[in-house]
Amino acid sequence: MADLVKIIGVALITVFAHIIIKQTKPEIAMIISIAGSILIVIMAVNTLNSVISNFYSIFEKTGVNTNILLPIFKIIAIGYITEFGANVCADAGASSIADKILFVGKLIILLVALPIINSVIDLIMGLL
Amino acid sequence: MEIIFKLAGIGLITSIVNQILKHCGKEEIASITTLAGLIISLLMIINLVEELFTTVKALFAI
Repeated sequence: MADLVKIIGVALITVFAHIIIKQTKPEIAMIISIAGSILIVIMAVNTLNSVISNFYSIFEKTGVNTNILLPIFKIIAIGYITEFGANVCADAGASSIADKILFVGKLIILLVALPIINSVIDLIMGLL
Repeated sequence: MEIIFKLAGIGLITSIVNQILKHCGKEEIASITTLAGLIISLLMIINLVEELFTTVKALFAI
C-alpha cells in the first residue's frame, strides 16, 4: 500500500514535469514521460518478484516440467516490452509505428510459442 | 527519482538559452543548443532504458 502511494507520487510528478516542458520543448517532454514510466516499472518490480517465485514453486509442486514454463515467461516479457514501446510511440503521436511494433511483437510471440505447439501436437499424435 | 528533475532542468535551461540567443539575433546557435539539450537528455535516458531491459530479463529469469 505504501509503495502504491509512492508510485502514484512519482507518476504525478512526471506528468507535471511533462506538461511544463511540453509548451517550450515537446521532444524533451516526451523523454521525461519515458523516464517516468521506466521509473514506475522499476519500482513495481519487487512486488512482481514474489509473484514469479510463487509461480515457480506451484509448478514444482504439480510436477509439470519447467521447460514449458520458460516460454510462457518469455512471452509475458516480450508482450510487456512490446506494449511499452508501442505506448511510447503512440504517446509521441506516431500511432502507425506503434501498430508496427505490436505486429512484430505478435510475430515474435508466435515464434517463441512454436515449440509448445509442436509438443502439444506430438502429445495428441501419441494419444491417437 | 531525481532523473526526472534533471531532465526537466535540462528542458527549462535549453528553452531559456534558446530565448536569449533568439533575442540577441543568434538563431543558428539557438537551434544548436536545442540539439545539444536533446542529445544530453537522450544520453541520460539510454542507461535507464538499458536498466529496464536488464530488470525485466532478470525478473522473468530469461
